[in-house]
Amino acid sequence: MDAKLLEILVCPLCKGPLTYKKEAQELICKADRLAYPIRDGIPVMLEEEARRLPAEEEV
Amino acid sequence: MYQWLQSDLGQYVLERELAWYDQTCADLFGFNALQLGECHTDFLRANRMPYRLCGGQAGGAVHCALEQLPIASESLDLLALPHALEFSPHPHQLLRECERVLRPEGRLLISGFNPMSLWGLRRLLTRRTARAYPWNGHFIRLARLKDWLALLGFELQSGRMICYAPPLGRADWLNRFTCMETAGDRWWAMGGGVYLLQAVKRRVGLRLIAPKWDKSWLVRPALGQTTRKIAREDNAQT
Repeated sequence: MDAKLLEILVCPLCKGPLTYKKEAQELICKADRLAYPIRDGIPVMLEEEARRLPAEEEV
Repeated sequence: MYQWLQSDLGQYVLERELAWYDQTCADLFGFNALQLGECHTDFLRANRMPYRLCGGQAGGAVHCALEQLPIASESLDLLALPHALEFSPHPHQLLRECERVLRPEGRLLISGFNPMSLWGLRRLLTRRTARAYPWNGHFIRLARLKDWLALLGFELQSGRMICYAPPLGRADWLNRFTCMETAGDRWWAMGGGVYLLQAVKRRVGLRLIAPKWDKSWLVRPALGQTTRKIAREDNAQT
């Protein structure tokens, strides 16, 4: 993932900050509890493609 | 869109559009530039900003919905919308997002098909039968788009029309109408098939900074001079 891209990326729903999980290749929005996947280095910032985090999973 | 751009008509539009984009964005400076949609073609190739990316449904550095941009507010200096508005289901929302992500004084470059032209006429006539790109789009009138931009606080910087020839599918037919390009520019300037706009996001500052020269001709108080005089008198007494 490009560092410059990470700087300007936010959650498309709440426009809040994202957490980059390098080992899982995911960008996590804590507020919406959504994990956006990164496929082949391209972040997929779509709500329907995102994984909903279960309530017990720590962010 | 990509297949259509490979056709003769698509190449005709693309060639003229890229010439305008190259000329316009070459001297725009800043840090981040984004192109929305049509990631197969780099419309901002002449730009020299350190970070340029393309976002959209297919290809590009970010996969996103144009109406829900995953870009931080006020983080871009240049945004290009090549034929994004007329094929978006929510053009209002798309423009609102563009306004959000642009910095004040950031530039917005828009290209779109003009409904008040031969191209618009062809769309009107073939709307029921043809489902192919670009005739399935909802062409937006220039006056309407200008109104939306004014409402969002954009100031129109420059703009022009291109593609005056009728939208014919074959290159040799299009070449026959090359005389219409110059004539169209001169005689029916608003009837081009594609309009190109450059707008600047403006924001009114909180503090008004006015030049000081209204009081500069007044005589200054001679405070320094009096003090020096007294000092000299003191010196004479001692």
